[in-house]
Amino acid sequence: MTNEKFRRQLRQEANLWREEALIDDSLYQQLAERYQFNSLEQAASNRFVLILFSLGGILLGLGVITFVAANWQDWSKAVKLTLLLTVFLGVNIIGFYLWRAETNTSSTGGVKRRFGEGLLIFGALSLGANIALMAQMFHISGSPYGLFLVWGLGVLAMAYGIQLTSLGLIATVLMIIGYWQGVADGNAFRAGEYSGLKFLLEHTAIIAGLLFIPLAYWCQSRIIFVFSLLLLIPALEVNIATLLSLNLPFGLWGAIAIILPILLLWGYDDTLFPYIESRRFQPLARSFALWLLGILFFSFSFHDSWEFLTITDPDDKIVRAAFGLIDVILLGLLMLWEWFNLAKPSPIRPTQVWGFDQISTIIYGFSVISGVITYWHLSIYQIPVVATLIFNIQMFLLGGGLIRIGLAKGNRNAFWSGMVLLTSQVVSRTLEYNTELLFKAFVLILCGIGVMIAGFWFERHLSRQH
Amino acid sequence: MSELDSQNIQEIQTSVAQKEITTKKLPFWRLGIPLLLQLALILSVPAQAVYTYITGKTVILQTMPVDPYDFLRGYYQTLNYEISEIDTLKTLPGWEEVAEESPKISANKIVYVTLEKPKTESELPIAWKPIKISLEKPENLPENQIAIRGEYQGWNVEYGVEQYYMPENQREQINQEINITQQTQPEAFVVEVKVDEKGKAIPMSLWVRDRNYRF
Repeated sequence: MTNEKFRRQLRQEANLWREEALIDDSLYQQLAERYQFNSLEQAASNRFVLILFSLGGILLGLGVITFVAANWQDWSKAVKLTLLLTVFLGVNIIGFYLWRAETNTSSTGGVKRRFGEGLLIFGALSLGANIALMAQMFHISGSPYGLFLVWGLGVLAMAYGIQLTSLGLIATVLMIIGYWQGVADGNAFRAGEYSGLKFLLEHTAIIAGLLFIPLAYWCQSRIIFVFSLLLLIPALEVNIATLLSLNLPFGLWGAIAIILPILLLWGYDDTLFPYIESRRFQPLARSFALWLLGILFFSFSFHDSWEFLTITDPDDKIVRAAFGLIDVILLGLLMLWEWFNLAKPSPIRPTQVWGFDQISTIIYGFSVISGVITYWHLSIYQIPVVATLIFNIQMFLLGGGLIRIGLAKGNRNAFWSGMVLLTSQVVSRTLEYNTELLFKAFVLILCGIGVMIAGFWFERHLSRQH
Repeated sequence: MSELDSQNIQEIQTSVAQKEITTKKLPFWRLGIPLLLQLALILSVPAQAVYTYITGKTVILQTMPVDPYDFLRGYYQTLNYEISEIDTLKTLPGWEEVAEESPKISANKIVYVTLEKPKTESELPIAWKPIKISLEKPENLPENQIAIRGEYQGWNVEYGVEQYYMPENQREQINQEINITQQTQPEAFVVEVKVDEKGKAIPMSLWVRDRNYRF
C-alpha cells in the first residue's frame, strides 16, 4: 500500500516534470514501466470494488439468512438439509471458480475475482450458519464457544487451501471470539469429560503459534500476524494464570506473567523458523512488545494498582490444574532460544562478540526490573510506593527513549508513541495525586503547549533532514 | 541513495511478482479438500443424533418445573427433568457410591441412571421411573429397562436433552400451555426421548396433557 501511494505521487510528479521538460519522454517511459503507472488506477478501483463486493456479499448473506429464518418452521427436515448443503457447496464452488478465473491486474478490472472472493467469504459465513442450524434442527445442546471454535477451524482449513487473506483473517477472528467465550463460560475449564474442545481451549497459545502464525506467512499477510498475536498473547497470559494452582510463590507467577510475553515478542525473529528468509514480521512483533510494555507501565504507574495487587485466596480461582503448563514451558523455551540467537555474534552487528545490542538490552532491563519488582511486592514484602516510583521512572525512560529513536531515525510512529506515553504519564500523575486544581490546570496547559511545540519542532527537524 | 532505490525497486518487483505467483490457477483440490473437511464438520453435528434416532429406544421422561423467570431462553425451551434434580437422585440406590466419588471441587462426573418402563398401559405416555444410579454403564438390562447417561454439573445432572427448539409462531402458545399444566397437573408434561445403547439421548417430542408437539 505504501508503494502505491509513492507510485501515485511519482506518476503525478513525473507528469509535471515531463511537461516542464525536466525529463524527456524516454525517461518518463522508463519510469512508467518500472513503477507500473498503468496499473495504479486498476489497483485503486480493484480495492474499491472488493470492498463493495464484500459488503454486498455480507448483506446478501444476512438477507438470505433472514429470509430463510422467516420460512424455516414451515419446511421439513429433508428440505432444510438439502437447502443448507446446496447453498454451502454451491457458494464455495462458484466463488472459487470465479475467483481463480482472473488475476489481480487483468484487463477486465478484476471484477470476477472480487466477486468470487466475496462469495468465498459468504461461504465461510455460511459454514457457521450450517453448523448452528444443524444443531437447532436436531435439538442438540451446544455451547456457543464450541460453535465458534469449530467454525474457526473449518475456515482456517479453507484459508490454507486457497491462500486467501480475508478467509485467514475471518478464521483468526472466529478463534478469538470462540476462545473468549470459552473462557467466560464457567463450565469450560472445570474438570469434566475431556473433549477436543477443552483441549483447544487449554492449549490455544500453542495452537495459535502452530496453526495461525504460519498462516500469516502462507498468505504473506501482516494483519493475520497481528491478529494471531492477539489470539496468542492473551491465551498465554491465561495459561500463565493457571500456574497459580501449582504451589509457586505468587511473586514468581507475577514475574513470569510480565517477563515472558514481552521478551518472547521482542526477541521474535522470522529467520529462526525453517524456510523463512526475510525478517518480515519482526518489526510488527517488536512494536507489539513495546505496546505491551507501554500498557504495563501505564497500568502500574498508579499507586492504587499496587494496593490492589495482592493475591488473597488461591481457592477462589476456578483453575483446577495447571493445564497451561506445557504451553508456558514451550513458549518459554522458544523465548530463551530467541534471545540466545540475539546474543550470538552475527554479521549484522559490527562487533563480533556475544551480547545484545543496546535497545534489546534496555528492553531486557525493563522486563527484568518489572518482574523483580512484582516478585518482591507479591512474595517478599509489599512495596507499593517504591514500585510505583520505579514503574514511573521506567515509563519515563521508555517514552524518552522512543522520542530519541524517533528523532534519530525520523520515525514518526516512534516519536509520537513516546510523546503519548510521556503526556499520559504527566496527565495521569497530575490527576491522581491530590493537588490544587490550579496546579492541575497549570500542568495540563503546560503539557498541551509542550506537546504542540515538540510536534512542530519535530516536523521541522524531519523536513530539514530531508 | 541508490541502495534505497534498488531496494524499493526490488520490493515493488517482488510484490508484483508475488501477486502473479498467487494468481496462477489453483487446482480444484485446493478447494475440494478443505470443503470436504468443512462438510464433515457440518455433518458431524447431527451424526450422533441420527445414530441415536435410528438405533434408540423410546423412553418417556418426567419433567420438573424450571425457574419460571428463565423459561424461554432465546429460541429454545429449557427442559428440566425429574432425574436432573439431585434430591430425586439422592433417594435412588447407588447414590452413596456416586456421592463418594465426587470431590469437593466439582468434577463433571458421568453417571448412568437406569429407567424402568411403567407396568400400566395407557393412551397417554407415562413417564419411566428411575430405579438406580451408578457410575458405570449397567450391562445386560432387561427389555423394560434402559440406562441414560448424564453429566453431573454440581447442582444438577444434564442429559443432553435440555434444549428443545420450537418454531416462533407456536412458541408463546405452547409456553402458556406448559405453564398451566405445570401448575395444575405437573405430571402431565412429559418428554419423549430416544436413548441408544450407549446411554446418549435425544429429545423427540413434547407431551402436554394429550397434545403432542413434535418439531
